[in-house]
Amino acid sequence: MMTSVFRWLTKKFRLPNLRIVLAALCAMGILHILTTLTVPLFSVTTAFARLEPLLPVNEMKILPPVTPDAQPLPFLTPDVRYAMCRYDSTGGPVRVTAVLPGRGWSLALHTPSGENVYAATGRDDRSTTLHLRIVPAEERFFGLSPEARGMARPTTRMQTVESTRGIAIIRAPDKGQAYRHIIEADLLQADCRSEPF
Amino acid sequence: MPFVLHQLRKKALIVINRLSDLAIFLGVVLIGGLISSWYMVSAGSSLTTRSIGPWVTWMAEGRSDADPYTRAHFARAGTLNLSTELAGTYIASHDSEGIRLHSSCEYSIKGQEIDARWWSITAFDDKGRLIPNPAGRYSFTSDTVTLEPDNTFIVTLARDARSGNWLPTGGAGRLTLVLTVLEGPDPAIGGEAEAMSLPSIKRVACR
Repeated sequence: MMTSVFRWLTKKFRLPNLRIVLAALCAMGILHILTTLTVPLFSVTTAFARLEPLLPVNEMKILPPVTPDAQPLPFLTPDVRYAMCRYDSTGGPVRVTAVLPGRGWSLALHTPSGENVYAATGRDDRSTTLHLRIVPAEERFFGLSPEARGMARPTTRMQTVESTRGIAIIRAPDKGQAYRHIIEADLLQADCRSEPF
Repeated sequence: MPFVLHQLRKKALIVINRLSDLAIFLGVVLIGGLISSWYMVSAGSSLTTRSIGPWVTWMAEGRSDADPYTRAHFARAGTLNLSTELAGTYIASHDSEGIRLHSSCEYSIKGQEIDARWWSITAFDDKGRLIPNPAGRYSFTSDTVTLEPDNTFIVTLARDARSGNWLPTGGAGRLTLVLTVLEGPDPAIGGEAEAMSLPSIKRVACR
């Protein structure tokens, strides 16, 4: 029965060339890989592309509460207040300072492709102040260090993060209207600026 | 004359055969290559995502060692979430029975108090937009949710006002719920993620 069906099929329709099918499968795999790898490069809807026009360079900006009329990104949690800084360290290091007064607070650095290169969260029992120095990922000479120029070494302990461009985000849980002024006061302490050489 | 016709027919058959081979080649390459990539980037697979009940999470979201599918997914989605090393983002677009969430239905989201530093549940439409409502209520967090005496919580997703933790859905159509868990179990480590009990989503009624 099966052989007769096969014979009928091969009589009516020519079987595709096996070499062509194998070549097509290989080409399919290559196209699959190329498409997947190039999506982040050509996507115009990345979070960085959406936020870039809203944020000044190397300046911390507190975003208004997220509402349906003011939602800069899809799926952005509205019960969090955001302070953002679009950093660019190509011209020199960028210094980011943030105070995380408690539980739920976080500071994160996101690259234009969305990768988290640094993240820290607030603790339950104490306020944490973070000082970050963002330097370009590639090797670059920015002049002599303060010590080499005979100046005192800065007393604040700073963490160095290698990242050329991206967005620093401070997330603060919004506990409601009554707490809003306290949260905004804490967010106002955040700073993002280009450092002199 | 019949010989010429025979030759022409033979040549035409060769051309048709070549064209059909080309059509098969292009069909397999374009449809297979593009659709399989689109599917893996949009929906993910067991290699890139983990499902816990109705909730789905991308295991390498925001990580520097994320796989190409995860990178492509979040580049297209345009979201900016914390890395899974710190926070888990769980998305539900279906209820616990696997039926698509819709604003014409009422749902009860019930769960144990989540073992995490902080968590939140937010209702969006299927494009990730918040749902406008006169109450200005879009989410509940571990700070704002009202717990039951047995340390559980129930969030009701409904078009009209309900008592307790009510999240209005208006006429949004298809819904998507996002559960963010800060410093909970790492979803990349299967055992721990499965040990964490995430809320169930039960359909109460539809109209």
